[in-house]
Amino acid sequence: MPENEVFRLDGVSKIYRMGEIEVNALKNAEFEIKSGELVVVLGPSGSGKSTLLNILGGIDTSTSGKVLYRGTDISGYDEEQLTLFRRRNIGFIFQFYNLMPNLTARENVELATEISGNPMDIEAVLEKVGLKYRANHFPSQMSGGEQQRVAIARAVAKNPDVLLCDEPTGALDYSTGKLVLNLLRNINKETGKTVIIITHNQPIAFVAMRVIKMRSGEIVENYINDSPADPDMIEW
Amino acid sequence: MNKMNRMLIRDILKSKGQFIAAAAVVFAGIAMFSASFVSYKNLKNSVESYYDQYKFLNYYADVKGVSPMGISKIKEIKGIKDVIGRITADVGADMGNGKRVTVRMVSLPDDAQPAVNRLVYVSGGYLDDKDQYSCLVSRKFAEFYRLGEGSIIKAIINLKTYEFNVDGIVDSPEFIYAMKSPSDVSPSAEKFGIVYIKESTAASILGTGYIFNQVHVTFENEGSGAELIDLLEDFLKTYGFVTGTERNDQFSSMMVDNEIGELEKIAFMFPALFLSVAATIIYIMQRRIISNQRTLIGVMKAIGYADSRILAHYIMYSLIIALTGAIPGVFAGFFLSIVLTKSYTNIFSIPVMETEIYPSIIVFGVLMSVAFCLLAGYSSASRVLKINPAEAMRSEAPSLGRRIFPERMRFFWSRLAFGWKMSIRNIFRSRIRTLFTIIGMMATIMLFLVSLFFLDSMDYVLYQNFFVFQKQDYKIRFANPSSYFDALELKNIEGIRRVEPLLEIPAEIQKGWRKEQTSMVGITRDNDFYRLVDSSFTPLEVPEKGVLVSQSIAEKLNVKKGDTIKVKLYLGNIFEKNIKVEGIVKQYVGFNCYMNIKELGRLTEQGLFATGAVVSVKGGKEETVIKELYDINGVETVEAKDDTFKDFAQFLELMNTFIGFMIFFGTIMGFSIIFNTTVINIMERRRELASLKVLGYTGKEVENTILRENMIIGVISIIPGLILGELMCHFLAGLFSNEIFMLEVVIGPKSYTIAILSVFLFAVLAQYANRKNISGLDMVEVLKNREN
Repeated sequence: MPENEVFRLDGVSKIYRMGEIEVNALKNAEFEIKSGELVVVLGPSGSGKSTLLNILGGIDTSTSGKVLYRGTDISGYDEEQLTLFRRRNIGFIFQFYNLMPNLTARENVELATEISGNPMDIEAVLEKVGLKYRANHFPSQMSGGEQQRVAIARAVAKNPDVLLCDEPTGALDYSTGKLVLNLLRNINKETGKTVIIITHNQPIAFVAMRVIKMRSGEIVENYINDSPADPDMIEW
Repeated sequence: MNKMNRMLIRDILKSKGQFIAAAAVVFAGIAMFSASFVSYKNLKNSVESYYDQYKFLNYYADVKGVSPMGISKIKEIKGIKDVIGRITADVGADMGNGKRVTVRMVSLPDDAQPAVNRLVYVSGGYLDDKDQYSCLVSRKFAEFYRLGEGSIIKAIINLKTYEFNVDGIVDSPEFIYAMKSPSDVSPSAEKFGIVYIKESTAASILGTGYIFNQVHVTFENEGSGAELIDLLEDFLKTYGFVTGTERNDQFSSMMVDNEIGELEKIAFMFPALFLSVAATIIYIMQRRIISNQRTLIGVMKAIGYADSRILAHYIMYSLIIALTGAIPGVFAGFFLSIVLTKSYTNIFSIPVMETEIYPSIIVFGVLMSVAFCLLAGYSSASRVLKINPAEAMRSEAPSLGRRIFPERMRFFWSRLAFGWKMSIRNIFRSRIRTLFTIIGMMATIMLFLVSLFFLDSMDYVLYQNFFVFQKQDYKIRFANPSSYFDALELKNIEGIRRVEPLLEIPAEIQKGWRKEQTSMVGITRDNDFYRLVDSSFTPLEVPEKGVLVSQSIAEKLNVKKGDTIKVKLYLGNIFEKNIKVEGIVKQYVGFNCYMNIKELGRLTEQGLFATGAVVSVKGGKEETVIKELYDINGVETVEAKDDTFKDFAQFLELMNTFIGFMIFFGTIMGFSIIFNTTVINIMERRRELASLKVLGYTGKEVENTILRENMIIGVISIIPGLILGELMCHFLAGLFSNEIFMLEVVIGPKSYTIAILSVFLFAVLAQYANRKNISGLDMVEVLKNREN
């Protein structure tokens, strides 16, 4: 196993059974992601990109194939092993933030550091996402962009190996979206964490080092972008 | 089926557990209502038709002596339907093995059943016309001593023993409760029975001749009261009228009315309590369902559904809960009522049992639950109207968060583990949810406390009455009033530790226009066996001259210390005296008044005398003492206090059956409430819980978060729950105290513990039942959607 390989997928498929119908959400996916890469998985809705992300993050399991995380196959993990896997290695960011409404920004972050064996300094993380001055505010007192930044802080503070972002800019307006994208890129650059973003928004792919394009559950393209763009330079 | 209804049905199917739990609460309330109300009605009807079919008296009088001629003259009084004269006397009977009891000899016409108070044959038939010593025996007494046709009863009359041959076992509407006198607190088949003998035999052996000492009548028109009675009593004056008693005051009839009255109260109180809890739960549930379905409501409104249609949709949900619970509830109640009626008619020895299906009760029960549920449904669903569709479809703003009070207590807060901090924050910040959970838990604590309180209170009251207020071991009754000093002589019996003479005289107490029958008990001023206390448990002295009045009588007649009351004492003649009340005696069981034995003797112009005595006996000597006592001429019966206590405890068994029902339904209800609250809590928080899981919290850790919260809320609910429960107990104690016994609000530590622990136990069980909802939470599904 090459040392810098985070994920390697080996013929991974996912079939959902919905009543009588079988939906082939992911077909025979094969690729690898290197440590420290900023990856964008691009595809229209229903292309299977969320399924892929969920499998990588251990909140869903594949029907067949191997999912190797740093050389270990996690596809056979049980519920408990997956929980530990998420706890140690994965930070999730969702389109709809999913913050605890009852907790302040800082407390939401604490929620993550509490169970991490190797957490980052909360104040530093809040500073990094630019919310130090709002640390004691509740989600209801923040804008969507701010809430998403809290969600990012929460994901990062656990000090995970990988950040998985599911349409992180989907619910945000143009400029806020850019801000969030910048933040993710900076985290990737400064901490060397692997960041995987899924989106249907084509221009975002310009920011990535690696682009994986999907359609109808299949990976149709997988290439290295030699000159990733600055998020400020892209338009959508 | 239209789409809204289909949606409704699918919603119900999706949340089956919750739906069943809510319906179970309604079920419990209605089953309880119809069981108790129907058995109340059944019993009332059974008694009425028993009285009717067997010509139970409307009025009877004790007289010195009326001839058969006098009786036929009474028959001619307008308004009198039937009349009988009879000879009645309490005599001793030897039941074998040295056991002596009192039996009431009642004369019957030699050849046919009497026209008033007819008898029901349980076995055998009427008096044998060829046998002068033929007799019939009351059922309970016969059952206790295993008497049947062919058995012999040895009656001791004026020191002579007569052997009567039993030819039949009977019940009578007159002795549903067979008790010798009001001072006996409960019927006892062991100590007292009725023996019916021929008139001619009674006339000769009781030494009265054909002169009756009782007149029983039925009226043409049951409503005819005061005037006819006045006329009758006036007429009877020539025959030495002593007292007159109407049906309502006839001892057995009064006791039966009391019991039935109790049942009636229960029939309304408990179902009302249960249904109110049910309504509250439905209200809470519905409110939360609606806020969870906010988007859905917005969509429906956007499509063009009218507010009223949407409102109807949610109200329909409550309606279906009501019907699902109420319809089987009514029928289960009917079924239980048969069991209950049966045990009542058995205990009362009522041979006529009327069990009926009352359509009006079915309708009323269902309507009542529908009304409760609709009220709850409407008041919660009317929130639907306020929802603006555009707003509803936008993602809901995160709920408001604020600093909570415990955080200000820095010292405490900084020491808390993170998990606890999170739980405490959740509790304080989701106030509505917390409040509802607290209400549910309070209701559970209250239900348990109220049920258990009855048991505790009864135990306490009986213990106080028989072991704290009374210290004697045995009570001896003489066949005839005897000298005070003869009574004291009993002390010479080997094994008797102490003797106190006792004088019991039937009495009527009057203040203003209110009257009460009671037993006037004369005791010595230096007595040791009676602990008389007032309502604040301050010991009372037996006064030199005045009277101590029982609390329940004092309350009824509105008598206070210092008042003067009119007392009629019935001792052959009637002695009417005005006596000063020197104190009010706390009495849990029965209703006696107390006086100085010397003074009571003086008032009845007999000097110092006694009708019995109370004694204490040295341990181990009981058997020989009883044997010796029975060997003394003039001793009619010897009652062990322990036996009286047991009789009374048994008499309360019915109450226990009912409390059993209550605890059963309370348990169903308590669990349903907590189960429901738990389900709603989990459903409402699916997104939060899923987020925790994605972060890497294990299923167990997530479960613990919720459990911890429930435990904290449980702790918070304890105090208000107990307060509410106690208030309820006070209310019920007042409601259920009656002429026979008084309830005191006494709740034992065990009951508190059970009430409190039940909440925690239910919380853990409910959580366990919902484990799948937490650990099986589909993170992908929950987090992808904006609203769940």
